[in-house]
Amino acid sequence: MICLTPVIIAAWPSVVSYVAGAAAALGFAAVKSANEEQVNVEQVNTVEVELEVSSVLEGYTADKQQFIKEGVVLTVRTNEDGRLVLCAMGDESKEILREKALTFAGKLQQVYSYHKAMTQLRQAGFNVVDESVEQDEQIQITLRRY
Amino acid sequence: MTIEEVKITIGRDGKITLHFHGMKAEVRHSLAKELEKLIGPATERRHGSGDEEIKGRIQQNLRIDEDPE
Repeated sequence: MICLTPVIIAAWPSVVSYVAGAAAALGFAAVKSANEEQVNVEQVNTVEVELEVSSVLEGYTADKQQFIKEGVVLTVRTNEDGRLVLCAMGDESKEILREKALTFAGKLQQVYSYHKAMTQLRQAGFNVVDESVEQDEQIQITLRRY
Repeated sequence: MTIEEVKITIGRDGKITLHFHGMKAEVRHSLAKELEKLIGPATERRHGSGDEEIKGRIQQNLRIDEDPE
């Protein structure tokens, strides 16, 4: 058995796809930039979470992604150090917003791990024979190579 | 016919656990090394009894090399 703790290292375009996958899995809808001002007007609290185990290649990018679910707006961007930062805004308490940001961070790391592991193992000639998502949101996959 | 199997569990926090069955140690180590490069360094390695049981069965049926671990 081997346990890996994911370190997200990718170029921004790849990060965008992982972030979109995590958002979709958690039921967040993408916010178009035109709606940004309208979304920000309703915010009461803001919490930022930095993913220490992340590094967006090609340095700082001004791009960001925004998602909304049940009045909570999540913004994903990079900071000057090239690390991913998740910002949760909404009228919930800071504690709840932090929890939502951390849940999103976990899902993002799960999506990243899934993509990297599956790509590598498929390249090595393995095929998926079973895949399931458990009640605790763990993903279990069995791959075989003959 | 040799059947090599990898069972993966990915937690909601992204932590990934890999179980390798039916493959030579060098193949397993090579795969693990590649995955570590892509995902992150291993935080735990364990050679469990389940692996031993399956390895033993495969050794008997498929004459796989002895695992040095």
